[in-house]
Amino acid sequence: VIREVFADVLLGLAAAIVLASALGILLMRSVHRKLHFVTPAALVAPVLVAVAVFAQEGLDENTGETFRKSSPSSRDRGAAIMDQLLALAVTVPLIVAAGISALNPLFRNQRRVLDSIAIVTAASVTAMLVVVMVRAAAGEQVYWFAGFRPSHGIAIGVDFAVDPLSAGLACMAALLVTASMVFSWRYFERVATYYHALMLTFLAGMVGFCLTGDIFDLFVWFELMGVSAYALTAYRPEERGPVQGALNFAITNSVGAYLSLSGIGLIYGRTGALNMAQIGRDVAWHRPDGLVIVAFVLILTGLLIKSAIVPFHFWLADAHAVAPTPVCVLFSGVMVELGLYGIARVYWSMFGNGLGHRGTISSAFLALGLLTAIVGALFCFRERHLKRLLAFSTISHAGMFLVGLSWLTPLGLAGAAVYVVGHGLVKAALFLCVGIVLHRLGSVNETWLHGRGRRLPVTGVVFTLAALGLADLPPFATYLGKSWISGTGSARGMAWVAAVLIACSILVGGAVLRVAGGVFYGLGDPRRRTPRWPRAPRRKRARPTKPSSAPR
Amino acid sequence: VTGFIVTAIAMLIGVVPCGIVMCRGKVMEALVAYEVVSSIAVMVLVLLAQGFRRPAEFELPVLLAVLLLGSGLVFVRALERWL
Repeated sequence: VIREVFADVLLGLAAAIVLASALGILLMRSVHRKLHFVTPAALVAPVLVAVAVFAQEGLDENTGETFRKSSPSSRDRGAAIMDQLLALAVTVPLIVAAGISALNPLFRNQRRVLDSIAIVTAASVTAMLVVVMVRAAAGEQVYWFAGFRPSHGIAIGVDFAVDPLSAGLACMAALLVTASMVFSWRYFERVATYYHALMLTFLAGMVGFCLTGDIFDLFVWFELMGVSAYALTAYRPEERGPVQGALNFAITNSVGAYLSLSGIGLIYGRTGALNMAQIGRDVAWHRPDGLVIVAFVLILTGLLIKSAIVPFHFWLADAHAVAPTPVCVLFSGVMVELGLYGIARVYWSMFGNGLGHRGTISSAFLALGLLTAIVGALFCFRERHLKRLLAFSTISHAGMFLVGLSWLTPLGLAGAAVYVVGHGLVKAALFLCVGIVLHRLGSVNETWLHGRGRRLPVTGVVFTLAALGLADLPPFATYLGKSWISGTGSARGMAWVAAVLIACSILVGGAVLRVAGGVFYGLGDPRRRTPRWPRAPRRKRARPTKPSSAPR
Repeated sequence: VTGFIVTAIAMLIGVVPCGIVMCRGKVMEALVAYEVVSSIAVMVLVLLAQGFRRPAEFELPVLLAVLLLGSGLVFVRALERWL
């Protein structure tokens, strides 16, 4: 009885605080005075509610049982640690992000503290995911949050379903975030507010997107990833360019998210399930009809927009041109590829068994992939703005990854996965080199930079090596991945696909090597390298001079 | 009707003054009111899940809280020049 009264008192207090805050917000005159009333409503009241819930929990044995089920008494210790790591890999960056944004006033003049916290957090998430990946190599692992295990084949809670591919991608995302945070240490002279918190929520979104086994959570992580990415693109919100690029990015991707959500709604209405494995089983039981196909197409369209497949590619180059370099590393290196991973995940977990139409799906992916590869490569070759050039090469490569998926075979998928890892690391190196060029020389215009990169010999060597990797040459992982993709094509009697892919690689690799030779070694004549066909009018201003003009 | 559901209803009343500010205030004032409403929404979902004894539905407020963290940061980043 005492606990019941205690819970009621706490709840009454919480309600009183919330109502008082709401009244304060209505009555106070200035924004700053109103802000004083947010803290009690947003911090104190939730704590009171949580304590009341736990006080009540002590009374009721049945509900308490559900909470206690999570304690792994019968399973072995290794699996228990693995479960904790999986949950921690997502919650740690989120909690640290919430903490550093809540304590923001304390860190105003201590940027190095923020930098260190962010680097340590990202590095520890990477370490956790390496352990998860090594364990996942032994077989797929499923972790049910709060111990809500499925009963009678029906999933009640939400889960993380980890296989080597998802764990590897999550690990690469964390590694690239760590690299970007280390690079930001020197790159920004004054870092924008909430940059670190946004990078960490972006990391949590990407890791959650990789690991989740629930289609609605896939959408939630997709949105979290997107929302952080929009804010990071508009790094300098007082200028026109970044806001335009970010709005373009945000609107295109939000439309994609709505399409995906409608698809999820349709499939939920049909199967009554949100767990991907359960949906896959239900879809396979019944003969697929128009509704399932429409749901599949809607979910896929959202993911295709995220992965910048033609005709949904236009947001990518604009976002890359205005986003700060460490953010571009993440966009090109892993975010776009996560869209494609989502397609693979949705196809194989949910629709692969029951949907049929394999030939049609395969040809549609192949056509979209080849079109994207060619369009991206052509735009890449004629571009003179280094960041846009690299962005178009990402579009071209996203097309090649989609070609790898389009064979719908394990070897094609493996080729795409190896290709994604190789490309992500190489592209990250290229963007970081461009960041160094921008920081030291103050421009990303290839014509202006011609020969001026001789001052940066080490950057030149790294850039050239990475450019060779981007051209899919033998010692690099990109070569291996691509030869598996084209090898699968040849086995299907479509050897011409390999020829198209090689032509795209030549264009992309040629463009990047042209930059390497021209900028860092002064090869060629800058004046004669104007493109022969007429230039389309620039939609966007080039990124202006130095990052030192960052806001406050 | 338990104390949890009564509290949830009581908290929903707090949405009204915030809503008035969101409709009539300046941009930043509306943002402040919006943040309070979003935290009220999370609490109401927790209270309802507990009040109706459906622990599986705690996941909804958790997800909402995660997304609100991200979206709140976006609003502040994009609108801070008016602060």
